[in-house]
Amino acid sequence: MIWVLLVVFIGFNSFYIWSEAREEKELAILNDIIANYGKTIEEETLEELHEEIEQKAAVLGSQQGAAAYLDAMTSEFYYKQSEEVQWQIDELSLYAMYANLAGQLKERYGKVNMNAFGEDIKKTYSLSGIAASWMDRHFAQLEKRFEKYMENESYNEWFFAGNPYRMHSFLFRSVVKMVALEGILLAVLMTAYLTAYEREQRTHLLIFASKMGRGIMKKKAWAAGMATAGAGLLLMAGTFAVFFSFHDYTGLWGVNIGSGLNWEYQAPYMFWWDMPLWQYLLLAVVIIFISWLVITFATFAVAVGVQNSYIVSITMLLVLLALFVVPSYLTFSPLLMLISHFNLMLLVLNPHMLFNGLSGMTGFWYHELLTLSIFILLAIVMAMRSMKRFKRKDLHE
Amino acid sequence: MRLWWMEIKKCFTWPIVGLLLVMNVLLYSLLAEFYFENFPNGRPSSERFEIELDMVERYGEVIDDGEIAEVRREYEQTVEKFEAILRDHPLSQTAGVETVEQYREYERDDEAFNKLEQVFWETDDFDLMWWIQSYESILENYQYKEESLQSQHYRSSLEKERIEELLANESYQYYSSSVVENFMTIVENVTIIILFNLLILLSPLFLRDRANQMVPLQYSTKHGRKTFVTKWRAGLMLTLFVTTVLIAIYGMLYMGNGTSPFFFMQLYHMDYVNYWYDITFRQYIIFVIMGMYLISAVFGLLVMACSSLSRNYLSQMAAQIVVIGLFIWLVIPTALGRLFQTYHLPWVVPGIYAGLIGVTIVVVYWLLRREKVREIT
Repeated sequence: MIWVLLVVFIGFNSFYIWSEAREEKELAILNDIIANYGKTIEEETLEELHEEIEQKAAVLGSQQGAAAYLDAMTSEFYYKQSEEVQWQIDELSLYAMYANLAGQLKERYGKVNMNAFGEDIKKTYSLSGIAASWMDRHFAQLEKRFEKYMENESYNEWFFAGNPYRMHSFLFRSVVKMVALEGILLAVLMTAYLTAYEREQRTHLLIFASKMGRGIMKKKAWAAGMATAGAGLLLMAGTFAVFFSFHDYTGLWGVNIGSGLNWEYQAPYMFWWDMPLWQYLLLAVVIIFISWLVITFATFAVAVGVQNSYIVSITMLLVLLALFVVPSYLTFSPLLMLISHFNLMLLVLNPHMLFNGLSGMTGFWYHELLTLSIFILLAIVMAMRSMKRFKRKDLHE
Repeated sequence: MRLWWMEIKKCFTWPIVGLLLVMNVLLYSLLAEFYFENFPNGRPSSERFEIELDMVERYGEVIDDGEIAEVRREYEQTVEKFEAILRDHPLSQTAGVETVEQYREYERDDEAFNKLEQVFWETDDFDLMWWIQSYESILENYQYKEESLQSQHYRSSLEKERIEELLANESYQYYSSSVVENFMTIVENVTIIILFNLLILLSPLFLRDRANQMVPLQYSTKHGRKTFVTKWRAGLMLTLFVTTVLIAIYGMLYMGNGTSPFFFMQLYHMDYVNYWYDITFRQYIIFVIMGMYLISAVFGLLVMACSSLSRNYLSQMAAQIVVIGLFIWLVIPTALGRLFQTYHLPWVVPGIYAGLIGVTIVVVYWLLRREKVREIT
């Protein structure tokens, strides 16, 4: 049945990716640009790009240059052309859009005021006391990072244009988040099933009297971990295979994820260090796998005590849901709210905001590391304690 | 009969009751609370809702030219009040703003104006601006009542006919659609909450006895294989009970939104979405509640069917995740969220209900027959 669920999940993800897929031909243009002009945006290459655009416009028969040609474009004229010419016009306008966006980056980032974001957060969450000073320190740090970012001109790299395509949100906010949630469901169900199996099959009296005895639970914990990792791997592999077959990322793996073109909504992404796309994807995957394993061990800890897979799986899913809901109810105490944002579920459900300084209350430097450490520790302590109790427990029918 | 009652009681074990309570609190805060506490949602809509409540009381569901003239007078009075404040306020004098138009179109970079705007934001004077906006949207809506209906694009010739019929009968939209939208969001989310309750409550119905190897024992009692039927009856009763209780609770919460003055109104006067039939909001609510009962009955029976088929809780939960996913993403938005709407052809939604009921009846019938001749294992 888990196989069925796994297949359903992968099928659903594929369907979702298929239904939301961006135009492949349009995205491919960026790969061409990167192949021709390198992954960084430089003044010379930008000029060359502009020249190419003019040439393309001239081929289409414009006299006054590309910008005027595109401005004068009407839908009647467009639809009268043959399909090939239509595509050429599309291509031209996309090239022009990229060149345009790339030219504006410096100006756009020059207007960004980090402290204003900080004041905004303090206002919306009405922070005071320790929480407010914590926030101030965070933004002082972020300001330094931003200065360095501006100094290195890290924004000058090609990426899928943030505004029309929103590929970062699509990949991480929609697809990876969905995978993470599905993995949680699989992990909880499988772990609860495995751990409570002996009791539910009424073989526990026999098994616990054997030489291995109650130590079998330890083996079950490892088995559950492996099962989670295996199912997660299959789920991720299947979903990513579909995603990357729809969207061509070949030229982009080395591109800085914090590129200025990857600016989707009001606030830019301000990652704590310049990392290439592959590194970000890898880190997101690793974080999600670790979270799955943490959830697996926590489920194991509860299941060892309760020994009823139904109650355990529902309890765990509700606890995880509560983790997600509770921070929004702690508005009365800024400090509690701050603490509650070191939260496994907020980490798992916001894979697009990892290592991003501008992600509200979860933007702190080391937030990810600290959250994971806390929850790993919590899960291990829980598992050890419940094992210890379990070893001394009375056995009965 | 006694067995039936026992079966019902058996579903409410302490752990399950505790989990149900926690789950309902969480789901309420996640899915429902927002739509009760934030109705009407946002600044101009709350003013608009107040104006419209007043209009319903005075003019009824149909508004004519004389009545809209009265509304226009109120609008003008509000504008005058605001402009009087503007004229007297020292800050607006320095900024040189005297009329509403000037206030609206003023340069954003003007420092004197920004100062004025900030002061207005912090005092109640700015409220008048919201009122002005709401009045304007009502007046505009009235002015273009015909055009907005004419310009609606249609997906089928039937829908085109329906729009023409609405135009011929002068069934224009006079009131904003926020009331119906808010109601439909609440209905969809409450149905999701009901389904989760049923899932948790009914999953162990057959499964627990099988897991505890009780079935052979039950077969050898006097009641024998009829236990199976008794359990179905108990489960159906529980479904009705849960649905009724939750609908009653959320219905009472919904009354707190204060939309009852709109109940008598024809839907086409208060929603820009078109419906196949001329029905009032009250009738629509009744149909929607019937739809909720049907959906939860079908879902409850499916949960029980899975419970009688699966061998352990793992397969039960896995099957339930798939089924509830289908209900949340397909069944509820189409069969409930777009009930009677011209978004689908008129037979589509009834067809979905018929299909769901048909499949459920076939499954249940097959399971009942299978039980009669089943091998004892």
